[in-house]
Amino acid sequence: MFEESVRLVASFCAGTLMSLMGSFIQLRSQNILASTSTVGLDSLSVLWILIFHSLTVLLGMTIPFSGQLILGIVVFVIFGIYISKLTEKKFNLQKLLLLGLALNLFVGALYSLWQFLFLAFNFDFPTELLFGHFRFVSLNELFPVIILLILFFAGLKKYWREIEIFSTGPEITRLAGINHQKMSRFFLVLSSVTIFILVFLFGGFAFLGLVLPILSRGLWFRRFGLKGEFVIGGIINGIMFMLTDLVCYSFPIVGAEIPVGLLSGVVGSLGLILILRRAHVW
Amino acid sequence: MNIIINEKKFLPHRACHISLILDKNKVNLIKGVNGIGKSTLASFIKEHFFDDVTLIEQTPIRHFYNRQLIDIKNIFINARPDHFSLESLNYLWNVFELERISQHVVHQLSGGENQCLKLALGLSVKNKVIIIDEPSQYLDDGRKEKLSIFLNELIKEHYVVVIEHESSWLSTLPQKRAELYIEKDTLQAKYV
Repeated sequence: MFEESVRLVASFCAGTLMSLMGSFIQLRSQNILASTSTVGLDSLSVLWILIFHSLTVLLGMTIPFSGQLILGIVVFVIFGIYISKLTEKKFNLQKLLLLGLALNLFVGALYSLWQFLFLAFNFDFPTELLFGHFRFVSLNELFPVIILLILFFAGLKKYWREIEIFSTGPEITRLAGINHQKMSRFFLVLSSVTIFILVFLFGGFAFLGLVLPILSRGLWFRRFGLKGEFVIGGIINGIMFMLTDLVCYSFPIVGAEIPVGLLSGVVGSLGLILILRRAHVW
Repeated sequence: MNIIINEKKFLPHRACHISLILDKNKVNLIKGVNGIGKSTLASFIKEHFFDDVTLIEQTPIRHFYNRQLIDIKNIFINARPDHFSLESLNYLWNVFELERISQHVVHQLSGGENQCLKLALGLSVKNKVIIIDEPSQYLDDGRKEKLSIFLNELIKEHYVVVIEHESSWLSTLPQKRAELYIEKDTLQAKYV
């Protein structure tokens, strides 16, 4: 029962974090197509883990789990600062999305090639890296995500004034003379680190960061404003994700559990198609 | 008040050597042909020279969260900008008749209404220097007149810079007019 509870809390935290990150990135870029996956952060996390895995398997390097995690956090903090600096200059989201698309294609292809070669030579390979799950979650994995969630909510409390004025658009923010750079940097760095930790600990959850905030906005923004999207929507999305994982856990297929990341990937990508249809893309 | 700009790479293909002398009690008008760099000059002044510059840009207000005008007004007030005047915001809100459409969302606004919203918010932030880029765009004659009455009060306490092509609506106000021109690939200004 204890293990199941840890798993439930972990999946709730991950779902809420993905919703919060997506909401922030879409607010910052003022674009519904922005998310950690579409700007390439998920792919970079996968690439980083693949590099470490290859070094471990091919060169026999033994880097402890905590060492890999800490080194990755440092790299993704730097990466978050870099993205933040980029957005402070002439921010062109279309270019960033194109770069993200290129990264996703590159890492997807590299992952498949690596998988083929590793399995051909009978090496161990993290086959479920792209489709995350919470099967082996323990307290060691739970603590970092709880800390990240607390940091996110603490950031929301601290920077709420800046977030709210920025949500009215960059023109009004400039008119008010409010400096949003510190707020942007905080959340971009936190999102960069969060997505790395989620992929590192549980694997990828493609498209959820894109679809969940759109759901929150559609359901809760009109009635409760920005707090409805970030807080109510974030928590409800977390619960929905937790329940989806519970379904995967409770109903194995031929004795095997479907990774919740696989299920959410299918639902998320379908959701993206529906969103694009609703936006009259075609 | 003097603003001196000496920049070799003001634009990718153009340097800038300008000395602007701003006066109070006058509208400091800046003119120049399309594409010469008037808006770039305004952004440059905002970015490099003063923390206490209000710049009301030419670009209309865009919306991602489609809010009602009254919500935007309340968020703006709650943001507590430096040198903010609630009295000015309420005055402009009324004279531009924004109260009448305060339940409208941003995407429903016409070009003129969007411009009025931008002017009402921007002119309520009373920094030392206030730069307004093409304030009369999309405005009808009645609103231009109301704006000129407000500017007439504003120039008494602030350095007001207006970038405008068609400035006949400002003819009742005292003016100081700088004309931008290019000489040897350098943006320069002369007072006329």
